[in-house]
Amino acid sequence: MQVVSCYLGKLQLTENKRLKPVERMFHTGMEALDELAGGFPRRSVHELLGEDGYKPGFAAGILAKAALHAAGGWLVWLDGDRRLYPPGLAGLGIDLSRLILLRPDKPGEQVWAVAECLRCKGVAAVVAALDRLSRIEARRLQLAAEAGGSTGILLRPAGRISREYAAARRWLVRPLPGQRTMQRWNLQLIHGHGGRVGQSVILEANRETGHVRAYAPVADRQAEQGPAMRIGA
Amino acid sequence: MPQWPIDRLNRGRRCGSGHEQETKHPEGESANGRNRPFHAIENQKSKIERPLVLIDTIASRRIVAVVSAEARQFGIREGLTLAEARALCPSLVHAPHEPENDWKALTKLARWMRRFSPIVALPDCREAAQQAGFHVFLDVTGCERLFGGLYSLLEQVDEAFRSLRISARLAIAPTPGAAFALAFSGRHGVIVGTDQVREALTSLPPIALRICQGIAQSLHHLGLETIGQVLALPREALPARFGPELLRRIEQALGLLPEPLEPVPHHAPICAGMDFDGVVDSLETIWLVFKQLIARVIIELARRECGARKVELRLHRSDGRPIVKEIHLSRPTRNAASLFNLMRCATESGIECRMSGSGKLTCAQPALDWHIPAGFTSIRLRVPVFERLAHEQLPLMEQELHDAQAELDCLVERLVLRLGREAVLQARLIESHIPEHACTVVPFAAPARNPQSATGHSSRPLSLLPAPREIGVMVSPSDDRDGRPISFTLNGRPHRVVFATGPERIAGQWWIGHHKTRDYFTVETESGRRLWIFRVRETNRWYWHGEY
Repeated sequence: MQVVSCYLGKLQLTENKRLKPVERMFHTGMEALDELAGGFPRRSVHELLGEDGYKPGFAAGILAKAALHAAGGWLVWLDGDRRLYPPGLAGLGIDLSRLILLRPDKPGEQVWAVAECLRCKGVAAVVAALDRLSRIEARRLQLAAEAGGSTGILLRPAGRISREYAAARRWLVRPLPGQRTMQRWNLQLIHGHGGRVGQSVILEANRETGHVRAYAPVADRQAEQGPAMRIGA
Repeated sequence: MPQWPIDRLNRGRRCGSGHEQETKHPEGESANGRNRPFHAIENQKSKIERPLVLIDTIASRRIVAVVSAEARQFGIREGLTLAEARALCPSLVHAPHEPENDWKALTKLARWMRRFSPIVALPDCREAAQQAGFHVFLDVTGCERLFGGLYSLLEQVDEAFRSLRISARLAIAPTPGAAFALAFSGRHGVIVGTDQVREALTSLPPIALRICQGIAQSLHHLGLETIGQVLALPREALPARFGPELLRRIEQALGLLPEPLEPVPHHAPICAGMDFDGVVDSLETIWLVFKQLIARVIIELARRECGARKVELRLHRSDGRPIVKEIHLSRPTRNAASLFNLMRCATESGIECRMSGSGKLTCAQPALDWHIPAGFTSIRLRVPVFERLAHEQLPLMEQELHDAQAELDCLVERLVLRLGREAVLQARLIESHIPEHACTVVPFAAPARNPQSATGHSSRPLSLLPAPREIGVMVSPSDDRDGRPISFTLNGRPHRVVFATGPERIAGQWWIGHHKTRDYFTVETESGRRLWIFRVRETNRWYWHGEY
């Protein structure tokens, strides 16, 4: 029920907050992943770490899609090394007409651009590969996300180079041996309040049907058949 | 102004050499012309006095369109070809005829003429101006008091035209039609009162009434050589014989029919500036000045109900050239906060402000090699392009959505300003089976109202190398050209292929000369990474192209 009052000649919409509750968390729709993470806070930065030069683009795409679904808005993808292939992103089910691709020439501009995008209300999620961040820069990104309301997803290398962080959740993403049509990743939560830190979950994507699902790693992987979520359009 | 195109061209040539400003601001010319050294004027005279014609090129024929007074003495007339004109006068100079530029210059002149009268009107349309000769109407009703009488006003205007070196004939009459007729037929400097209009017009040729060439011709064939003879005819018969135009022009000239003058619109520039007593180099002060200047500009924009589309910022330094920054806005705005953010971004990126410990700024222009540790002496803000800001009605519940969209527009402007247009991009899918061509990136533009959702292939990788990189691959069976990869070397490290899916055969675009065919494989290594590699069938070489 909306309540509109006219006070001092100015229409005021009261109870606006209750009408459209601003959700503080977003969910991927994959129970195992959501439970382990304890929900994904929207106004914050999430870090996905990859080892040996691996950049966990797929996991970032899944998170970005979930954030877009929750907030509705634009996706900004900072593509510093010009390797992002938009058809692959469209294959994940992300609407390319709501995508802004940033390719700054100077690496010094990257942190500034990410902070500006995080601070903007119209942006739902920002994905960026940032290697080295100073403590101040990491904190600045987190504050920008808190001020603006968008979700930051940072792809960073694991190790000493990403020692400084101010993210709400940190995941270590490792590719796992899969099958012909199945591609698997191991997502280990290494930092996050409210989540089960230290435990991991397996993300599985079927390249033929486009389904993706998450399940807890158990001895017999085939025994666990969690509900599958279809990606793609 | 019988010679307007020629005069304009000569003025342009005279001023074009060094003083670009003068063509734009004719008021500077009168002063400069007098102060110029004598020999310079002599040189110009000799140049000007050479016969000049302006030519139109119609297909391959070059036809004389405008003839200067000097050229006319040689017998050159409009409509001759250039070759014929050259035969008449070997020293003939010619230039292309540019009616567009003539009209633009006439508009500028009209704007400049506003110093004599608030109402300055241009001819009805461009074609009429070309046909009847370029002219400008000034409504001087009541203005003579400021100039000491009508004669004095006429003299001052004449003097102004002479110093601009524009040959013009002036006449003052109660109606625009009569004034034009007098000036057109060479009565320079006449002033006609209300009761003398009819007598003044009687002896003039009918073409001076601003009628088209056809009517004038038919009047000539009938032996009507003066306006007086036309006036003697029964007035009711005129429209039936010559069409409505002739009677309308006669009545306008006599003041029986009103002819309102449409004044040239007045555009005052929107600008604000601040001069400092000394050199200001504190960043906080400069930002404070920005805020004040923006506030002043916004008041003016609000008064006109407009929003800025382009903002020009000039930072004058005590030494060296001023730093000029132009900010283009994707849509009109007069929001102080967003304008300030943009200006801050512009100064930060271009001047490379660096805050030292004391809060002073050092600026270094990328184009210059040296660092100038100096501040600014004055700051100017100008809004050269502005547009009407439409009031929008928002649905009650969509306020948030609108805010978010407006904020996004501001964000894109800031990003474009600092990173450059080529760095803020939009991806579009293209129907193509070649992976590199299946997608294009274009500079970000305002989103369409109904975005079409594009569907991609879930079998495509998420990252694609800008150029495929050659790798060494072992295939099994080893001697077979159709063998499947079993291991490959990447960055000097061998990787065993656990399994490979494929091949997906993609043929090149043979119709534009790409005959090579690729066999794409998706390979998974022991570590679980999935790569997209291909073999060129013709050369049997392997390349790494993407990663899932």
